[in-house]
Amino acid sequence: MISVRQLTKLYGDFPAVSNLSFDVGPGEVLGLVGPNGAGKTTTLRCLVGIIAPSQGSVAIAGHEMATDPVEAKRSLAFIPDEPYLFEYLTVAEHLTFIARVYGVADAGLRAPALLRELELSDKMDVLPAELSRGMRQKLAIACGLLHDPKALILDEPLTGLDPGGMRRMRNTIAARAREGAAVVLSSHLLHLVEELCTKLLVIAHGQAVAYGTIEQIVAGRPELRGHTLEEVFLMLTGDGAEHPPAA
Amino acid sequence: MVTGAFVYLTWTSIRNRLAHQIRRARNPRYALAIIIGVAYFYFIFWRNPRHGGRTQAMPLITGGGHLFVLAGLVFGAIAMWLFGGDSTALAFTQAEASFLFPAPVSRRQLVAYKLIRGQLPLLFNTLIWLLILDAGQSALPAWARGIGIWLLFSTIYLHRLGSSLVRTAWAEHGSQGVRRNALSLAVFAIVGIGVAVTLGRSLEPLREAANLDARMAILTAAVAQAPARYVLWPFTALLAPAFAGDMTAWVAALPGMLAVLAVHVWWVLHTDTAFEEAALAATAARAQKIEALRGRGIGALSGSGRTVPARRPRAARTARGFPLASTGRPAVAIVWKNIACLRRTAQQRQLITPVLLGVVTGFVSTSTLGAYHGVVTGLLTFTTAMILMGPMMLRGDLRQDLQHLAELKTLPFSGTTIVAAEVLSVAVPLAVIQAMALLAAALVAQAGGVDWGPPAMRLAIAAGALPVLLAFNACSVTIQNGAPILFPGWARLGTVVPGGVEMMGQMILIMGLYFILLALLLLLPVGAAVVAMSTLHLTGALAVAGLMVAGSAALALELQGVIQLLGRAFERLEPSSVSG
Repeated sequence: MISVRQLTKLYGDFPAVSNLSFDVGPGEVLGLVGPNGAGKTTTLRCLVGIIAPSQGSVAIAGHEMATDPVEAKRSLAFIPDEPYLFEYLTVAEHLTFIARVYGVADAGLRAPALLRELELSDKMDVLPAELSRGMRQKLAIACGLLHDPKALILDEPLTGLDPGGMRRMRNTIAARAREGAAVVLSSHLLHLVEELCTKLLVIAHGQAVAYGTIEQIVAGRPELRGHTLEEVFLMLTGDGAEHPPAA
Repeated sequence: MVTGAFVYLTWTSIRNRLAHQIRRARNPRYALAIIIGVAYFYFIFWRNPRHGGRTQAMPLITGGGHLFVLAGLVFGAIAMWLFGGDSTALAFTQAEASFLFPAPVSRRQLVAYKLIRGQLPLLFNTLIWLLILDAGQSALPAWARGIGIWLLFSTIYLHRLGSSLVRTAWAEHGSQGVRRNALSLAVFAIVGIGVAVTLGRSLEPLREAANLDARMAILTAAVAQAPARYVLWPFTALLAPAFAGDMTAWVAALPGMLAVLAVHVWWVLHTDTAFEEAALAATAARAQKIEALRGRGIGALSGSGRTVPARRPRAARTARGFPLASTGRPAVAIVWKNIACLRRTAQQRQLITPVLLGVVTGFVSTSTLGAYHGVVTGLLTFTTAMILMGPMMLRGDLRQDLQHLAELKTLPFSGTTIVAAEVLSVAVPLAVIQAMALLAAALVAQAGGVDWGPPAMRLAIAAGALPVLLAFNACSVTIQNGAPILFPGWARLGTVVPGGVEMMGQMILIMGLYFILLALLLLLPVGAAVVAMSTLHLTGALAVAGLMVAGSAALALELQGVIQLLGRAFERLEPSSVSG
């Protein structure tokens, strides 16, 4: 569903991302983790077509982002860490806009249900400026889910949500994966990654330092055995010097 | 101590910004633009035939010209008070609000900081106006005129700041705010009454005057007499050094000018209003316009921890969107979104200028040609103004949406589709407004028996008007959208850009380039249409209709190619290249 080969992004001579390759199949949830500045957001932006890779390729649902971006984008949804909203469209109008862009014929049924689920029903005629940070994030989520994407890319999806919203978001991600969506999830919340992800891609300094299921990663690096995911993360990203020995 | 920190912040910000802009010049596209810009400057100003002429000890403007500038200054000041709305004078950036407001800095020091920060654009515009006004014909040295212009702009800037403070106090504190600023309001009222009395007295002579020159003479004489002479003294004092003919006149005018400036400084520093609150509200509004659009969150929060309620765009309370079906051509959604933006932003306020132009010309024509002629003239003036200025005034296209570049790039559209939809978002509403004004003019002309050609010609014009308007608007808007796509690091984004006389120098330069590009784009289609008509030996109404339709079609074809090129450039655009 999502296929990335030798993805490299250079800013001048600086490689923000180098030679990343990974696949996310239907029903899989890939956790993209790494320290600040590792290249996670750059990777996600390349995946969704906001920026073009310097080298390598990205394919979504069989469509190459470089050569067939319109079809590739039709199959995906991107929910960024900060909600991207149009200041002058109300909550309901955001969904109307998205419905037309993606041709969601049954938007009249789906939109109210989504708004209800995300507790935005009483905010239909409100502009984003009047929404709280969490509400704005919920609206961005509603826009992302309206067209039932085959590939779901999430950057820190729980930022700004209240505990109830976080739980619903976790359930929503899991439900989308169960329904066959390929999900890429970038987060610093390692318990979220552990709970939801079927495999991990750990990056540091723009390069992959580990890729696979947790079992596969640990199998390839015996020194990681017996450590918590947090400890594994810190050791993999080169910040594990102060960690206690495995239990 | 604090002033040193402000100067340091301002200087380092300017230096770093400049260094960043210079680094951009490594890009061949930017380098080429700089070369073209320098050449443009050179030919407009230094190779101007007016330069190098005989120097004269005459004031730069006299009679009607002086009256025109004076009227512009007076009405500009009145507009600041009546229509206000320009809270940009008070707005701080989010970083400034976060760092400076909780810092041990007094309100006056914050105002002083605003004044320091405002100097860079003022100095830049002073330079441009100096080049425009000082054509080497005057006996006044350029440096003296430059100082005069700079002082004039600084006072206008202060006036904008002061009127924003008073208006904010009024809005926030109601009658208490009015009482606190009674003196400012009284001065404003006296000036307004003085101008109104003068105009009232002049109405009858103006009506009886034979021609425009006679009317100008009446108005010039009126402003030289009481009460206008006294209430307008601060305005004439402000203009005197900038337009002085020689050093003697300049030196004589300087004390008056400095007195007006000093009063403004005193006024702004002593305006009794909660400056931080007013500035925070303006900052929050600005943040909503910028940050929310970029999806970084708006956090209208001061460094002191106080939150400022987000101000809802006024029109949103009433303007409901019109329906959009969830199926059909997807790109229509972009046009729909932008028209919603157009209806809910201050862009509509920009239409005041064409409306005023229409009203004034209509009024003047009515007195000589009668009511029907007056209305027709007014409507045609409005339409012409909308054709020439509309594409620059309405900015609900990529000039606004480039702030949403990341969002746009995730949509399942090609770059060409996005650019075309964005161009149509402004071109179509403009064409509708212009066509409606033309239709109204035709109906009034018909009702009043105003002769506007034989029936066949009327039919030809009616048939060709809409395609011509649409194609011309699309051409103009494409140029306007080309700038942010090709030079995203230089483009000023947003529906409303900072305005005011003191910022008009840049606008004039940009307009010059815009009209040159427009002429170049129109050359081929107009030429092709003329050749086609002469080849077919068409004359009269048929030739007019054919010229309009064929020219529009040729222009549309040409634009298709231009939009495809811009679409490809849009696809290569990255959020990091867009100016901050």
